[in-house]
Amino acid sequence: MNKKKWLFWERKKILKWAGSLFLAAIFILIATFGLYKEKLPWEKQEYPIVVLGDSVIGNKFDGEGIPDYLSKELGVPVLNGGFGGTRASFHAQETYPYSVGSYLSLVKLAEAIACRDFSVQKAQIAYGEHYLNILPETLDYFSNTIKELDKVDYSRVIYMIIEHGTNDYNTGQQLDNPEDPYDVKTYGGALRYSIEALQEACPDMRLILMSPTWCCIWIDGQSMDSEDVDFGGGYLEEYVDLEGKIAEEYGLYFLDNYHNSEVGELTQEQYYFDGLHLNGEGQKKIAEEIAAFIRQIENNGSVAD
Amino acid sequence: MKTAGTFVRSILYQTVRILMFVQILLGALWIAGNFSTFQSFPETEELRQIADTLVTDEYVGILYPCVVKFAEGVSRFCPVPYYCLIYFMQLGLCFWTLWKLTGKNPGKIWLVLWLMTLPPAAQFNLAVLPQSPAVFMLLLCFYDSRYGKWIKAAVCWLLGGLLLPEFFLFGGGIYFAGLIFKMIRRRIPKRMVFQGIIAAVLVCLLTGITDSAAVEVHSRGRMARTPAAMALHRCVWPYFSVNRSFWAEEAKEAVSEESLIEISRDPGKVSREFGLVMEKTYGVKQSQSIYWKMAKDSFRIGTKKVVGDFTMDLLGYALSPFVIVWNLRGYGITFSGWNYSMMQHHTPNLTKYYVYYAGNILPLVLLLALALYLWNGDKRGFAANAQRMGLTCLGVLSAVVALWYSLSASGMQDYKNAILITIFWGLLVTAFMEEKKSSFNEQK
Repeated sequence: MNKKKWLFWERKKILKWAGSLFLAAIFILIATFGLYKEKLPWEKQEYPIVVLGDSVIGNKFDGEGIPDYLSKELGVPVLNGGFGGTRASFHAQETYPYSVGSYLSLVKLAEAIACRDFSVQKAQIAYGEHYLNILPETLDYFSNTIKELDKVDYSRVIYMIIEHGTNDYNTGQQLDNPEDPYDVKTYGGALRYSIEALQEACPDMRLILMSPTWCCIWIDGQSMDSEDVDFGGGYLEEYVDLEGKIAEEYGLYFLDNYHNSEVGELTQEQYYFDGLHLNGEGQKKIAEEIAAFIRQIENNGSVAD
Repeated sequence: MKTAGTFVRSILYQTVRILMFVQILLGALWIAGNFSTFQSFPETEELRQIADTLVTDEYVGILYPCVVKFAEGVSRFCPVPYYCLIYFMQLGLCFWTLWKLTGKNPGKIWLVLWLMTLPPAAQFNLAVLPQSPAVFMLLLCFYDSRYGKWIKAAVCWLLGGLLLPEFFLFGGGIYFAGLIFKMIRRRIPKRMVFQGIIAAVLVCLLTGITDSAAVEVHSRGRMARTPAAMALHRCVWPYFSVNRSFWAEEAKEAVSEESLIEISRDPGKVSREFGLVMEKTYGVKQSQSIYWKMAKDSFRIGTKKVVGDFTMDLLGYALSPFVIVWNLRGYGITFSGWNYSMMQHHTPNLTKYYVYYAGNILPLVLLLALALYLWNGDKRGFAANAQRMGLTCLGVLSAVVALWYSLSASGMQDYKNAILITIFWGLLVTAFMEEKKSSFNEQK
């Protein structure tokens, strides 16, 4: 009798534990659904090409941008991950609880992609959007872009194109820190840090560093050529050269738009909207050049000079 | 049938415990992984600067900078960084307070650990900021006031007020509410009433002496902390430049239009660039009437917006532990992204799973605990009036804290100011989980 009773209570205990573990597992799955939602097959967004950059990439002219034209050229979806006004470098000292642009820098986006967590960016953009009329820093496409970046299946991205440099140049960010090659406050350090973060997180993804094109900056009604003005960190060409050097260090593809693109100083009337941003023609031309570059990689496995 | 019901209840109870244990595990891993790291809040740097001069303003208490200085001094003689010493102290204070509040019952230690690992509590226990110790001092003041330990309560009130100035008001409210309640119900002898009053007088005296010695208006580059300044911050930001035409001539003359545009982009600049300039130009007293006028005009022009933003802030504070994960999904206008970026800096993946798990599971745990409480035929666990009264008082205090911070500023809703509210929701869950004995009312 005693053995029967003991067995009964033991079975009851086992049942209780089994029931509660099962229920707990269900609740945990429900509660953490958001963490793995994007990994579900029907939620993932497949983009073979993702382009990160500043307003040259992010802003659209007549409703289309460089990634849209690139998508038409290559016939594959291309995600526009550009955010106007952003830099490659990141300055923690310049951030404040409601800053938006700093958290959309290349450094921070690379970190977000590496751990598949865009929470900080979403929260900061929400803050900026609420005060959109007063805080023009947050442009109206930021929110959608970050949501799209969050949905990307990075294991299926073939090319990630990184276009940064203009805003680092015109805000006078230091080119490099000889004592710390990973100093993210510098342009070079930010590139190295981001490249390594992305390579570690997505080892099969091919990175293409794309330099900015020539530009002119308007200051107090005067147009300042990027070859003539140094904002404190160097001339734009120095940023481009450093970018090329880093691409070589890491064995990455480098598309030098500054020196080799048809879009430049001599064709500024044709391709530029305001000397800095490209018009529709300029965007199409850059997209054609990127497409040709990628076709060359695909055909030859490398890029001929 | 009754046996089946009891069996199902026990499964649900066990399920809640498992859910809590997972959080405890994640929280413990996060604390272990971040114990030797430093969250670079800019306020910490300010505290170190205050520690050097021992002069502060009405926004920051003098006690915490002294603690920082002391920890820095001790760390010179041991291999442990000063911030680790501070974390150890804060974790110890947190554990001790929650242990007392949950009845000092070894069988309930898992509830204490669960409360400690609620992400806002864990994060700010591992930050060199006064919010965490101030909240736990306030809770200790609350606990001691309930049991008529006026000396202890007064000490906690004093320490809380010296950590964060607004906690002098919160602590005073708790202290006097407890004293008056006990006087009305004649639950304490007259000598204890006198003891309580004398202790209160001493606290006010010591706080006054400390303030006169250490507090200097404008010393940290901020405007004077007055009701008018709070109204200005709440009603006028971010419409400084938009509504400029309505401002008084004094305000227009003191601050240029370009500055107003910059101030409109940054709520922190209201105090440092607008208020400070106004008060240095016109004096603190005259500026108050200007602030009130600006606040009234802004409220009149944009009533819907001001009330809407205030309501969002108030709800955000009141439901703080529940809304953090929604803020991180891009809903709400808060500092959650900023705080999260500090929290995740060293362990991004672990932090992601920890914060999202804890944030998503909390409403579930609350509902399950409530369901258990309602289903539990034996209501002795919660029926004890003292426990219900205690939680009600804590709820009122949480509401006051939420209201205070919502009224204080616009565009600065920050969950580090809502640690008390987070603990309150956690204590509510633990109270619902009580089975037979009312350990909240037990004094051991």
